[in-house]
Amino acid sequence: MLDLLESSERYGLALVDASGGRLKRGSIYVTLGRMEAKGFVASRQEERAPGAIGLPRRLYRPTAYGLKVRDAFRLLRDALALKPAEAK
Amino acid sequence: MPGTWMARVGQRLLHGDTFEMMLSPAIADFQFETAIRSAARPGDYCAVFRALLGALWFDVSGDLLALKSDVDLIALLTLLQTSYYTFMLVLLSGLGTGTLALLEMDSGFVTRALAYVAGVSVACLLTSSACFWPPRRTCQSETED
Repeated sequence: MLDLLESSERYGLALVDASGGRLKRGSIYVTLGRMEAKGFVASRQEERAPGAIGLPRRLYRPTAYGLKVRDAFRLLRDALALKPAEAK
Repeated sequence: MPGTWMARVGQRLLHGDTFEMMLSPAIADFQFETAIRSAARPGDYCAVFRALLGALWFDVSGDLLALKSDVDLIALLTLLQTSYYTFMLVLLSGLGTGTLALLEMDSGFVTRALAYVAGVSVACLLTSSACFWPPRRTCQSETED
């Protein structure tokens, strides 16, 4: 999710479309909300034209902290994926 | 506007910040997509409903964790209430009084009594927890409005 957000700000629905089916519509907003509560992503409401109806959409972007956590996770994942022979 | 009733339900059930962070974006994207397609699909409603359930679980689990600080008082209240209502069972049974027992003292009495105490304990735990349940948080933007 942070990889997808790194390039540009996106809506939740745009993330689902960009993920190629890996992210589901029903769970992405809760996940993004949890990530925002933990400080991994930040969000803002879209600017709306006067007279627009419906709820304002929310745009998400990664925080510097979120990107650091992602990089740390990648390092850990790569380290754990090493075979014993490669690790020596 | 489709999704308006779901927003109303969400506003009633969820904390204000949870609604803003988790359900409101789901409904907004749903409304945006529906406006483009001019019709809502059942799957879209399901997605918003799943977001509502997920947000509800987020709130309830958070509230349950918040009860940890009052666990001793909740336990005391539950114990007091359970003792009171269990004493009523003893009075009803007529134990030691020699009067006519309202409850049959057969072999299943102990099982029934334990089931009664368990039921009373659960009911008392629920009411005691309700006393200490965290108040509903309203969103910052709502208060500013």
